[in-house]
Amino acid sequence: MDLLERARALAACPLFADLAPAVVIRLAERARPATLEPGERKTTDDTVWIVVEGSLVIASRAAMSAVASISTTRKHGGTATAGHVLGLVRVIAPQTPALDAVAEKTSVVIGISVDDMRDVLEEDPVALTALSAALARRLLEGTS
Amino acid sequence: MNRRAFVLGAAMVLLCNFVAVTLRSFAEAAFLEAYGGGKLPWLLIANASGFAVATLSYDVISRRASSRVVDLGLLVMLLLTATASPALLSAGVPPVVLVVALAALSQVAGLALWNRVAASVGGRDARRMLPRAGAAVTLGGAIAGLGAGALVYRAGLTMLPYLGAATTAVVITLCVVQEKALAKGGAPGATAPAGTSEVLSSLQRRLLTGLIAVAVLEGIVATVIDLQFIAQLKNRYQGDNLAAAVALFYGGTNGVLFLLQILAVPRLLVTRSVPTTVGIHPLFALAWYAIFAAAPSFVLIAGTRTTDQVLRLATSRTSQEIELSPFPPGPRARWKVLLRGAIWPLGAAGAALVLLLVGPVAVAHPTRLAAVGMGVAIVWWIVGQITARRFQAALAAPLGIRAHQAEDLRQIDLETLERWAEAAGGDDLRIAAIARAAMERARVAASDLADHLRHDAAAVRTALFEQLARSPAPSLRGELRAAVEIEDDDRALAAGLKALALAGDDTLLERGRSRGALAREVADAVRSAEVTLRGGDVLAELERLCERDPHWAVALVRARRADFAETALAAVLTEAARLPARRAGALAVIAGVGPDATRTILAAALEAGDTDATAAIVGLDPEGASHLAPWLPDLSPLARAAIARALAGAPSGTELVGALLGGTDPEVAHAALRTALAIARGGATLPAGPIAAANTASLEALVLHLDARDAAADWSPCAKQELEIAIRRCVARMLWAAAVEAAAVEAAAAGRDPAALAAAARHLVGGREADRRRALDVVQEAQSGRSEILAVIERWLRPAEPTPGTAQVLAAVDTWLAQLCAGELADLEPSLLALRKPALFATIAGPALAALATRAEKRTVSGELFAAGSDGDSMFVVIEGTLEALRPGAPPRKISAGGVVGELAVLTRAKRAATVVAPEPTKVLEIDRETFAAVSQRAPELVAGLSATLAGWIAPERPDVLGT
Repeated sequence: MDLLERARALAACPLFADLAPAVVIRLAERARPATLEPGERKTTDDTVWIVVEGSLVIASRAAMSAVASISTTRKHGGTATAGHVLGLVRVIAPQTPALDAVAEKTSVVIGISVDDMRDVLEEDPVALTALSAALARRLLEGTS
Repeated sequence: MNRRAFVLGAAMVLLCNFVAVTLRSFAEAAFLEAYGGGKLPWLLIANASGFAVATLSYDVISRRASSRVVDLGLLVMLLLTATASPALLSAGVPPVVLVVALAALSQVAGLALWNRVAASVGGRDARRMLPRAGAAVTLGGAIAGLGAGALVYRAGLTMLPYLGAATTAVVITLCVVQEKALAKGGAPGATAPAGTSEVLSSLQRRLLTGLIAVAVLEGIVATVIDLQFIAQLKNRYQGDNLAAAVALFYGGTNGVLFLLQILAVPRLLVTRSVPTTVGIHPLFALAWYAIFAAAPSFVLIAGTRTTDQVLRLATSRTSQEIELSPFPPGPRARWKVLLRGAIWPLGAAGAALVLLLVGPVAVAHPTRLAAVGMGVAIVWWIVGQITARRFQAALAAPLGIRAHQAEDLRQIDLETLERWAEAAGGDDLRIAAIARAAMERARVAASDLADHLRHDAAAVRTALFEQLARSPAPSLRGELRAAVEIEDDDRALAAGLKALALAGDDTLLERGRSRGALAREVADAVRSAEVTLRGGDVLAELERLCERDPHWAVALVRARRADFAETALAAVLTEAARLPARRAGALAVIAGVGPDATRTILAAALEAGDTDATAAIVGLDPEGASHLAPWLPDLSPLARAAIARALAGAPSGTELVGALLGGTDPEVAHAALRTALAIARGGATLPAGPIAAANTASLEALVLHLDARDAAADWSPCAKQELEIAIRRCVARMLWAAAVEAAAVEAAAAGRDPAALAAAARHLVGGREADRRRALDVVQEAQSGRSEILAVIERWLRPAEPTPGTAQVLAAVDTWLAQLCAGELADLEPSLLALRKPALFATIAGPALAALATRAEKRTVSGELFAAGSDGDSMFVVIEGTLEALRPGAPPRKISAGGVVGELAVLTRAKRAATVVAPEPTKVLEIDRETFAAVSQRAPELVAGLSATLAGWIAPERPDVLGT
């Protein structure tokens, strides 16, 4: 994925809808794509994951053992599909528990390190405000 | 640091090495007497192998029993063996068995006890104090060497094992006492944060592999050097002279080592990066060896061996100590013993065995053997550097810091450019804007774009014409003209005419006029182009362009500046800035080309956090940036800080950021450095002069703030609190400046990532204590060579012991804080103290908080604050008391001091989502939307804090998944 493709993937997330193009590009510069095979696991310890294709089952770390299968993982959480963002809340609220996400089919994700995400948002108050507004809208809409 | 345990430990390892040298002297003398000097190589192999076997046995046993029992058992065994050794010799036990047993036991005991010393110090203290404990070991060896010689002459050789046994008894006592001291005062060097896994991570395993390889290679080189040294020594000296030479050599080596361990090594370890430190030993050995290879002589091989022996303990062992620091305590202690007691000796023994098999030929050609040794040393250096990088990765990983090579956006290929250009002209306006931003970020050259002007898609051609209009290139005028001449799409033609007009070409206006009769946008473009190129009612056209195309409005004023009076231009822009539809264009013109009389309009807009003003700064081209730069000194700090923040998203920001970097106002410096970091990370080059000035200024500012802290004994609690917050911001600024310098000056071309320092700054300023210590080590690794930075951070981290003094030192670097600390803002202090209590305001800059305190309304509420479904434009921060949020079907949610309610209305203009009541009189701070917007422009942390509050509300059962 080149820079623009990564930026497109980010722009496809409703949460990033209000970010200025220059900010999306700066995030895309720091983003690294990855293709996950079924059963492959990612965590939100230090990375924000944006689902581009496929689906991942998600669960809080505390509820799962380290060797949980897809089926046991599915029991603990929902499914993240294209456009979902995993781990973003930890960027602004580091005490938020980390999650595990396990690909249930071949999936494409984009990872941005939490520190990179923080850097970009701290550099640009307007971007941070836009993201806050998006968070507020999600809260009002009652979706998560 | 547990000082008592450290001192006891240092005494323990001193005496233990005294024992080791004493017993080895006895055993080796017995060996030589029994077998003669010809068997010396076998002694080397036997010693190394015995040491390795003993270490591995110690490892196996200590994994099954408590280390206390094992260590004491080991010392008791050493005591018994030493005591019995004269009798065993008399009973016919082969001396080689005794040599191996005594050497192995004493050396393994030394390693085990070293871990006990290391347990007493952690973090930076370990870097400073462990070399001093190493000096104690050296001293113990020196005393034993000198003392044993004297004792043998007076009391005979058999006294040595008894002396060793008696001293071992003292060591056992010290060991017990030190363990109690560790239990009582803590073991910072052997304690990990709760929840730390004892299992090595993949990064740590990679680091361990490197450390093993380094230990083996180091052992091989040491053996090759040893062999050549002994061969040269034997050729040169015989009999008593040989003994005297050996004694002199060891005495000199230990003397140099002792001085290094006392004076140089602690400083080295707290200032230089590990790759530098680990490189010293192999490089110096290599250099000496190269000189020896050129002209083999005893003096040169003696110098090589001295260098090898001294640096092994002075830099390689200490580097290894640091490189093991990212490991959990258990594996760290275990592998320290194994690397030193098993891996290194096995490498040495293996090399000795090979050399023995090669036979006398090995030493017959000193230059060839030296070349082999040099070859291995080069490999050792390379592996050492790789391992040091792995250490840096393992050190930074727990903080979430991952270094990665920045993508070089200037290296995009033609196919990519085509796809980007296509996207820039696509129907999806957001993707088109992102594609244009990508091309701007990649600084795609106009000549690259010109190749695609005849693309099949009209939208692509439009986008390319727009891009060329933004960066007019006279050399491309011919290609541009040819493309516009055959353009059949109205939108693309309008864009092409604009690009031609801004390039100063009017040849196709007639064609445009004929099409303009049919298409409004072409007619507009033709009219604007005519005025731009030939003049006319410029100010009327300017008004239209302010509404339609701010970029062209700027270009029009530049092109026709001689056609109107400055006062007339100022009047038009002043009027346009009042009209919402033209305000963005007017501010863009003012920022990029406006007369001085309009400067106040821009300044006021920036100070108010006007998004149109921010957009005007973001849209500046290099010429506009040059126009704005002379205005900067006359703008208020608030306006300058707003410009600095806006420039984070500006392609042409480097010149202006450079101009802002040199200032002393803390808010401006803070914003400018943050933006400079963003620019540096994008690969743009910032001017070196302002970066150097910013480095100096940020360091000086922190030093002055720390000086002020030392004089703050009598200051008010509010002043002390604000000073501490200001100091943290100074620390961040200093590290940002260092990061920008690292990226811009040191290795921009190599794509060095400054993110590590920025992230380290975040952990230093706001992290947990353990994270802060680790972050400081990351700073040292990322910023090797700037010892003053590390020193001042350590000064900050040390608890202050202030004395009474004045805030005069702050006047030059932070006027507001100087006034506060001098008691001149006493009226404001209660509000500031109250506002700092909520986490939301805990870290924002003092002046921004003061502005909030001034603009926000303090209220005492009772009963209903607002009702669900009502309109609202204020948020409330609970200062004292409790509010309750009521939602149908949900239990009441209590909001206590520091909590926030109503923030959704401020962020989204939504109706109130809950009814909020105050069961009893509650003090709140009411912040309306405008105040929040204005203050958050100055203090982005405020938005971050509010976002964190929101985040805590989002789906508690699935707190970290957000999506469609």
